[in-house]
Parts: sequence; structure tokens; C-alpha cells
Amino acid sequence: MNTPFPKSRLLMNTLAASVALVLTSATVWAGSTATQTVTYEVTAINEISVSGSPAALTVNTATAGSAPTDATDASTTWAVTTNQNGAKITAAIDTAMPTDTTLKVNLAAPTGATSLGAVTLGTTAVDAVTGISQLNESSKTVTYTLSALPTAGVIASASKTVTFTITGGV
Amino acid sequence: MNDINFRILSSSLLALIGWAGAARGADIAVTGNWWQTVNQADLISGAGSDIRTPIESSTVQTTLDISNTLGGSWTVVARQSDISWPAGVSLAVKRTTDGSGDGTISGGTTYVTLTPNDQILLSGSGDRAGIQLQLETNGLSVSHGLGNYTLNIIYTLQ
Repeated sequence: MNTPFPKSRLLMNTLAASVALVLTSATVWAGSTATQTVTYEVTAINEISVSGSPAALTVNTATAGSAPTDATDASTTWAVTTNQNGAKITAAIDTAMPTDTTLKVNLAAPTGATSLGAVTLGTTAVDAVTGISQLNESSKTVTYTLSALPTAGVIASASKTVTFTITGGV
Repeated sequence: MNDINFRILSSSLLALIGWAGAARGADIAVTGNWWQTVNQADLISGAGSDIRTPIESSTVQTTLDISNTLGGSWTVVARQSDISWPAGVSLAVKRTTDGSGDGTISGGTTYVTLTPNDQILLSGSGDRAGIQLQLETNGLSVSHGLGNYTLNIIYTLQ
């Protein structure tokens, strides 16, 4: 003879089954997701600029018994941005300087980099600043120095184009 | 327990089961990954300056579709899952269109910055298709170096 199933027992079973169903359904609801991928690619960035051209450099004085006094100009600045490591700045002029004259440039170093000081400019590029890594800085001083030996004589005014290049970063 | 209480409780449970069953079918779909190339053209003002920020995607970069809701209410939350993402760079999302459909939509029209935890993006009811989203990154710098940076955005329908 079967024992009658009490309503309260039936209710409890129904409740348990219902809660289980609700929990299951809620879990599926919460699992409804979609995924999107975002990618940005940063390519090599190496930019250099100068603020303008310096004033004319004129060697026209000397102390008796010494070589003519150098002419200097520090009125311009340079700026750099690189996202690479170990970049360097080289400098060169478009045509050779007259005999017994020398044009030098000194670039102030940005943070963490090394300036090679006043380097002599020629038609072959020379390093001016090395070890530039992942930075952006501006208003760094550019100093030009023109020197002339007495043997250079009197030279007509001329212009040189100085080219600065940022290179070598990895 | 008398019959009346039993019937009321049973009916309530059946209604609850019915509601849960309706919710179970709701679905969310996303289309439109974002690939952004950053180069020297993205500097704020050339040499000496850093990368501009923010960098925004198209206003219709991404499309969300919400379906099978049976008219029920819903909320979309979003979080980021880093794959290779530099520290200090954040990603934000906002809704640029309402989409279309019988349901309603609200919220999400200003940028929500994503974190590893779910952030409420928008909410509504019923089915909505063609909800368009715009993305932006903030804080990218030349100090982060060059390379490819990737993360996933996980949208969840609640």
C-alpha cells in the first residue's frame, strides 16, 4: 500500500526544483557575453627640429698675440621625440668650410642622453648626442662656434646648411 | 499548509521559472574590432611633443546587438582583459547611437573607463540592434616604446 505523498513534501520538492531551475537560468543569463579585441600598433617615432637659424657668426677681433677670437651663437634650440632606445643625433654641413676655419656645434643633451660637446662640422656626419631613449624634450640649446686662424685671411660671407639627423634607435 | 497557500506558492514559482526561462535566451553580439596605428603624425606638435591623447576610434567603430530578450529589461556591463597593455594607458567606451528595435535604451552616452571589473555601460529593455560604440585610449606616451598592444573588451548582458 502506497503512503500518500504529503502536500508539504510536494511543495518542498517543487520549491527545491524551482530554485535550482532559477539558479541555472540566472547563470546562463549572466554568461551571455561578447568579446571585442582592441589593438594599437605604435611604429617607430623619431622626430627632431630646430627653432631656426642662428645669427651670422663673424670673426673680427683678436687679442694681440693670440688667434682671432671665436664667434659664438646660442640663440637657437632643438627638440626631439623618440620612442626608441639608444637613438643618436648626427650633424653635417652641406659644403666644406674654407681653409683654416672651423665651424662647431654643441647640442645640449636631453635627459639621460650624452652630448659629445662642441663637435667639428664637415660634410661627413658626426655624432653630436648619443643615448637618447623614449623621450620628448624641447628648448635644448644649440651653440655654434666659428673659429678662424690668422692664415685663413679675409673670407667673404657665406652660408652653410647644417643637417641634424636622428638615427640608430632600436 | 492549506490548498490556497499551496496554489499561490506554486503559481509564484511557476511564474518565476517562466521569467527565468525567458531571460535564459537573451543574447549579446559585438562586431567591429579596433586596430589603431600610432606614428609620428600622432605627435601633438611634432618634435619635442608627446603622442596626442585621447586617441579616438570612429564613432561607429563597434556594433552591439541584443536579442532574444522577450521584452525583458537588461544591463550591459563591460570590462577589460589585458593581453599586452601598457601601464598607465586606459581604454574607455561610449554609446553613439540608440540602435533600433522595439525595446528601449538608456545610458552610456559618456565615456566609461574600463577596468578589470565590470562597469555598467548601458541598459534598456527588449531587443535592440545596431547600437554603435566609440572607443578611446588615454595616456599613451612615447615612453611606452613601440610595439603592438592588445586587450579584450568583454561585454556581458545582465
